[in-house]
Amino acid sequence: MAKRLYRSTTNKVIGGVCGGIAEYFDVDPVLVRLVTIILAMTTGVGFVAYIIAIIIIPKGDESVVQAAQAAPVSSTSTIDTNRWGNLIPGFILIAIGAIFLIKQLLWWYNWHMAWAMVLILAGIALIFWQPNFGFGSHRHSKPDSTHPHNGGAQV
Amino acid sequence: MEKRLYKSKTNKVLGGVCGGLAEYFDVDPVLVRVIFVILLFTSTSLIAYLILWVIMPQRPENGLPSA
Repeated sequence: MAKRLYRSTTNKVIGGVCGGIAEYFDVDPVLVRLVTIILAMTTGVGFVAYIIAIIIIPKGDESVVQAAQAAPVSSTSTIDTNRWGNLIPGFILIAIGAIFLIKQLLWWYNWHMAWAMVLILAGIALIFWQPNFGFGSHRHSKPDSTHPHNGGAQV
Repeated sequence: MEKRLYKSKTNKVLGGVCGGLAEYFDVDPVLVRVIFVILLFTSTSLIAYLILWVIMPQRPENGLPSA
């Protein structure tokens, strides 16, 4: 049978396109992903090509994947850890992107302005929310006073 | 099978990217980390590290034992 290009279902980060290409040419998937990202960041070709690839390249055979996952236990655990492992870098990337976006959208935005806003809001909070904090501390003090009693009853 | 680039499980500080690169090129992981930290001053290595964190797969259990 002729070699066919499929989107990988075991070796994927987003749609399995790079993993599938790597399996087809038998190269390191990290290398394919790096080339795609560099093409996306420098020329923008990578984005368009990736979306087209997701649509036109068929997904790999599910039954083959299930068999492959059933045989070595490690392959399933690899995917699982990868899924959770992507959370932290994902959040950091979102944070960096958000900072860039805020800087672009709000032309008057700078760090001095942000600190001034924080100080003004803190001052307003101190002046106007004083009674609320007072009530809050009173409410907090009640359960605090009952806690030793409860503790005493338990002991 | 040929050599593949994996994140290191045993040799990690943050995501195992520098450890994985060190295992791949067979150099001292501290050297790779120092280079990454120095590159932080040019602000290129942070994005590079995060991208590598996402695209490098975890080393499978039956893969080559890491030093």
